[in-house]
Amino acid sequence: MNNKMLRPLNPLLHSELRLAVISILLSVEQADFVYLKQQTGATAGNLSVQLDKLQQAGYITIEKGFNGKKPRTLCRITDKGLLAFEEYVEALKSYILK
Amino acid sequence: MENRKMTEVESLELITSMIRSARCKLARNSYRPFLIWGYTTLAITFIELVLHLTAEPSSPTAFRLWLWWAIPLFGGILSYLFRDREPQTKSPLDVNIGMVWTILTFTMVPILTMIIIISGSAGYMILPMILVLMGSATIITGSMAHLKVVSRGGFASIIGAVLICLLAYWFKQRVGAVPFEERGIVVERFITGQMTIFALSFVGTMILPGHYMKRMFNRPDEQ
Repeated sequence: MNNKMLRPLNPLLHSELRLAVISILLSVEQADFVYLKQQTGATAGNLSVQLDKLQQAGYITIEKGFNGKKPRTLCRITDKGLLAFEEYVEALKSYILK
Repeated sequence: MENRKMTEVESLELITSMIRSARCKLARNSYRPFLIWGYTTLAITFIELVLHLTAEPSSPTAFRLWLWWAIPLFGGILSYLFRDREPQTKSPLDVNIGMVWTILTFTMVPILTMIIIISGSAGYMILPMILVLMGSATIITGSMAHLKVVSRGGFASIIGAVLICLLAYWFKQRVGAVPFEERGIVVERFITGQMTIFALSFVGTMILPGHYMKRMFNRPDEQ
C-alpha cells in the first residue's frame, strides 16, 4: 500500500556528483568549474561529463569565458533545474517518511 | 566524489552538507570589508583627534571637516586592493548586500557634503550621521546574512550616535553656563568625547565582528 505512494526519483539527480553540483548551485547564483571541483572533490573529467549531462537536461547553463587571460567556466542553475530539485526532494520525503 | 547511486538518506545528507559548505565558503571572506572600514575609520579619527588637539583654537575647521572624506577614499582604495580578484561564486545574497552598501554610499555623499558646506555647528552632525548610516547598513547586512554578531555590532553605532547626541545636549547646556575664557576647554572636551565615542562605536560595529567572523569562518574544521 505504502509503496504505491512512493514517487520515482529523478535518475539524473539521483547520482552523487550531479546531486552535489545542483545542491551547490542552489545556494549560490553562479559558481565556476574550479569551485565546483574543489567542493565536490571530483576529477575534472568526471565533473565535466556530469555538468554536460545536467546542461543537456536544461538543469544548468554553462558559460565559457575568460577572466583576464585565464579561461573560466561559469555554471548557473535554471528554473527547470530548480523545479526538478524541488520535485526530487519531495520524492525523497516520500521514501524517508514511508 | 563518484557518480554512484545513493540511498535516500545519503541523498538528503549530501544535499544538506553541500548547501552548508557552500554557505560557509560564502561567508569566508565577508570579514574583510569590516576590518578594512573599521581600521580605516579608527586611523582617520585618531588623526582628526591629534589635529584637533594640536591646532590653534583660532585655526579654520574646514580642512579638518574635509579630512573625514579620507575614510571613504582610503576605505575604497583598500577595498579595491584587497578585493576577491577571482570570485568563484556569486550569490543573490552578495548582490543584495552589495546593493545595501551602494545605497549607503550614495546617501552619505549628499548628506556629508551638505554638512561640510554649511560647516559651523553643523560640523558636529557628521559623526552621529555617519554612525546612524553605517549602523543601519550593518544591521541590515547582519539580518540578511543571518549573522547575529554583525547585526548586534550595528547597534553599537546606533547607541554611539545617541550618546553623541546626549553629549551635544550636555555641551549646549554647559557652554552657555561657563565664562567665555573657559569655553575653549568645554569645546575641547566635547570634541574629544565625540571622537572617542565614534571610534569605540566603530570598534564595536566593524572591528570586533570582523575579527569574530575571520576566526569563525577560517577554522580548519569548517572546511
